[in-house]
Amino acid sequence: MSEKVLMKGNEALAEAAIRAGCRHFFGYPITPQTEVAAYMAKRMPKIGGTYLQAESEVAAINMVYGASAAGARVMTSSSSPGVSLKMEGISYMIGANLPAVIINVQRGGPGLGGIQPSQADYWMATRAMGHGDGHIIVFAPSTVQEMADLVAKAFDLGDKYRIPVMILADGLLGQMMEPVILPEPIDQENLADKDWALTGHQDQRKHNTISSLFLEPQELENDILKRRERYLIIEQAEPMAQVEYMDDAEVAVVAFGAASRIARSAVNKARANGVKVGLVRPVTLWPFPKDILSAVGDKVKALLCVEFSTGQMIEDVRLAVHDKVPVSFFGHTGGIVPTPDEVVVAIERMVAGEQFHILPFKSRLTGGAS
Amino acid sequence: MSEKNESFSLPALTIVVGHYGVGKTNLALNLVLLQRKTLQGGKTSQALVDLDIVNPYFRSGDFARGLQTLGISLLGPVHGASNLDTPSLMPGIDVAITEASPKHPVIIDVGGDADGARALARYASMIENQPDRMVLYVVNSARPEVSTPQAALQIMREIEETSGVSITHIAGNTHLKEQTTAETVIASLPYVLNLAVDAELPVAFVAAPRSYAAEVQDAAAAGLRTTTPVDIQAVEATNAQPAPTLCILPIDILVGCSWEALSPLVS
Repeated sequence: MSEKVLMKGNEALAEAAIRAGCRHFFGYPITPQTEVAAYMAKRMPKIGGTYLQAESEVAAINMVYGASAAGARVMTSSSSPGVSLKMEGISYMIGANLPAVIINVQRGGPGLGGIQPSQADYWMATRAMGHGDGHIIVFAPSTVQEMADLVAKAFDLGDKYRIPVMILADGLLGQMMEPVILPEPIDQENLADKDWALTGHQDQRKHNTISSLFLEPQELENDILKRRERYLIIEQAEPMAQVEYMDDAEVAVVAFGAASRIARSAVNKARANGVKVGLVRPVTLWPFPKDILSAVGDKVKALLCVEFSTGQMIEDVRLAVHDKVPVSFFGHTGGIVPTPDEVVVAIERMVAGEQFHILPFKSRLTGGAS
Repeated sequence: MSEKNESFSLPALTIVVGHYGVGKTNLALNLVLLQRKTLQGGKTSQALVDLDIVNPYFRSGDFARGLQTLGISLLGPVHGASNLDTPSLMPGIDVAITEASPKHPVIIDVGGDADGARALARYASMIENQPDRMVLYVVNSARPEVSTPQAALQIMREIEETSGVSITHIAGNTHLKEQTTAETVIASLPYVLNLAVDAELPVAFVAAPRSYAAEVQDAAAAGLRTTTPVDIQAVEATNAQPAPTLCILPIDILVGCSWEALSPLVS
């Protein structure tokens, strides 16, 4: 076991990727993820890898496409506006069944937005990562340790299902420092062969083709349906969530990533006041842990979503619990991080039987619209 | 803590440099609060310069309001009203450096690594003309990129080369944030001393969380000479202090706390 070191979230993502066998990184600087690229720029030349700062995010994601097609473990990272630019390339990778790890250290949007933490790319990541009928796997870590641990899992699942995988972090997690035990480096020899990769057939096999172009509609539909079968397997096998304080819970808070840390503080405070409140933290956002949420929905009287947005994951929560129980929302957006005390007030209002969707500009917690 | 540490005094100009994430801003804030205690009486002033124009997160400028209430001037990058990522340097920094004096001391919190120290180069000649100065190279052995004395020395040389400013002292600041224990700091003492030997520089102090400082002090005095691989003769041959005379500086975790939570520390 490695010893405990102090790392910034962005550094941990980069080092964990290297330890998971990533030797190719293509990116472009943008706050608050720049340390990922800076770390790769320093480390890759020392270990025989490639670090390349592309001329744009669009160029970077297409380099990722190329390296992935050649069978490499490859990563890119950016922050919200930069990820918007990468979407075309990601759609092409979905269509071409190419794995890669894409880091999004979210900041405020839309447009240039701001540089402070946000979770407002939930819809982008889980619904519309580019055009067409497609999905990517989305992980939402909540600690620096989990950032390090989920990167290796992201590479493994990407290769297993031939699908791009996103680590959806935010400026808070990317910039914060925490003690972390880094995963042991993998043995590259143990990685499964990618018999589909463009590695040169040496006249020993039929040549491989990697493309997302199907001009014949029936061929395209067949291809999409084949991929959908894989999605169904992923939806069965891969959902992850952390469920806490549920033994006696009468209500529960649902939050992912950095928001779950604030939610946990609030849950502890509310419990100290005698409120029986649980906490559910989706770790995979796609596939969304529907069954886990549904089971929680059967146990509690009400749910509260806490997000750094105006409310996006709440739609998945409502679908998962089939609106059997009221689902309320509290959050801040634009780079403002909610405080535990604000969340405690929201919990108390939920316990009192209110259903609400409070935005900060609705005079904070005093008079939010339902 | 002992009288010696409470009376720890800083020169007219203190500059804090180091690898990013070692705790420079937290240390600079501690130093400015410590210095405030020694400046009571007479017509005095204090300034903290936030020279970190590399990273817009976690900087001493985040404490502007709290520093203001204590009467400490903060000279920071100009970024409109918030943490924009295109900051520029204030003209007042030149005057602060050239006119720093024991009654009007200045502490400069520099950005991480050589990249962050580049902003210092602009002031290099003014700094060299200020005889009453201390340039602290802050190290934290829990940071992977400076976890050995050799790696720390290399980054130190890069900072000196880029900034054109010579480092004068080593400052130990090994910590694991909230998971820091006395053992975390004690285990780092040989690292700090070995770096001091390699760098041929004295150790200004080793910072330790206030609640563990006494324990670290005792350990340094009692055990270090015989139980660690430090070559004490080599330490004594340079200007670096041997372990028993190491100054252990009690500090508080300020960065990441709200200013309100800190008020008991400064009252």
